[in-house]
Amino acid sequence: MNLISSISKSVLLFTTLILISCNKDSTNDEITLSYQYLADKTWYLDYSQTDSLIKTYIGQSTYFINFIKDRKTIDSDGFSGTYSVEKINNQLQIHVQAVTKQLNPIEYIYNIESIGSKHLVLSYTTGGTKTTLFYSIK
Amino acid sequence: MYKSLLLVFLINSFIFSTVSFGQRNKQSASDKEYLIQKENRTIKSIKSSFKKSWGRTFINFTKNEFSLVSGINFSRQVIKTSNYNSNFNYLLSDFNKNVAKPGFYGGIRIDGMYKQKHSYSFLFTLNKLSTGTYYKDHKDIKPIVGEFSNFKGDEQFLTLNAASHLKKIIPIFNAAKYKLSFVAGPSFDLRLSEASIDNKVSSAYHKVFINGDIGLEFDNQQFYTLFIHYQQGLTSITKSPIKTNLNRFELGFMIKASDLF
Repeated sequence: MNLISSISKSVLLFTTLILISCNKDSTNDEITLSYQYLADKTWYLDYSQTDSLIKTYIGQSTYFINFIKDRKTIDSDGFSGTYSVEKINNQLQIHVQAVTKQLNPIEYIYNIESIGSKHLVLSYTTGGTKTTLFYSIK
Repeated sequence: MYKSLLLVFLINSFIFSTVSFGQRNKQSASDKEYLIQKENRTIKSIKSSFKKSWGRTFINFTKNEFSLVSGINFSRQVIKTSNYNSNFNYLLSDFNKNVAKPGFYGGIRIDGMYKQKHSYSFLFTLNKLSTGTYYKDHKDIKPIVGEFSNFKGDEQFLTLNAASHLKKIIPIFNAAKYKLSFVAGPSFDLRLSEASIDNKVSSAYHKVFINGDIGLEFDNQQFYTLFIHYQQGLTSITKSPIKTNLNRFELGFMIKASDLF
């Protein structure tokens, strides 16, 4: 019985240690991690999907966008400006505020479907039609 | 006239200051001695009250011997993500490694007898685990080629491990010289290291891992003990729906603290 009592005491000690160790809330970690994966890379468009139609751009001259660490962005169409990652209505998004080559301001938002160190999946909806864009780094 | 008066005054001041410094020195030495004695008394009283309370609580635990242990471990995680989803993708070809990776550990151990019959040991160690991560299932992101996971297991952990083992001697050697023992018992790991940013997002890992241990120990004429332990995770170290089993081998060396200090 004493052996059981000693083991129970050890378990109790561990439980106390767990209870006193605080658990930090990590609401901004998703955004921090998204920046970490997104920034300092050039993302090349490999595929686009609208409804069930998939277009491939692999092996061709394709659209690319560069997200720089200082939150600036430039793409192959010559649009340049700033970007930010936000979480709105439980959805991670990339917000881009840029100017065209003719210096016309333009703002667009992409939903982040999936992001990793090598693959990025974004989507946007226009006129009720969802388009998904598949990017990768080279 | 003034010069001789000044000289007398200086000599007097020097003598008085030397005497008072000596007195102050004596005073501070006796103060120091008093404080040391007081400190010793306090330590002795703490020691005796600890011994009393230890004796009262662990009345059936006798012949306790403290030892220092250290060694290397080889750990592996087997991960089943089931229907876990997140916005993050991890290309499995970069992470999926069905291997055990080496880490190290060190700590203290108490060996003794329970009710004069059963040999036991309590082990308290700090462990630096470096684990291989094997993913049993994967996800596809079509049309992208490759296997993905929405969860990336942490590969590095610092844990505080507490184990209690029962020992049974295997009678194959001359027990007066060499002892080969079989050990078994539960152990607990308290994760001290923070999760990586990938796992802060999901807060996937538990703080405590519960294991079942078995092993063999070889005592060489009480000079030292060599042992090999296998620790099998009894519960998932990650929260549902991700199931992660952590298991490891430990190769260790133990020497009595009284032989060292």
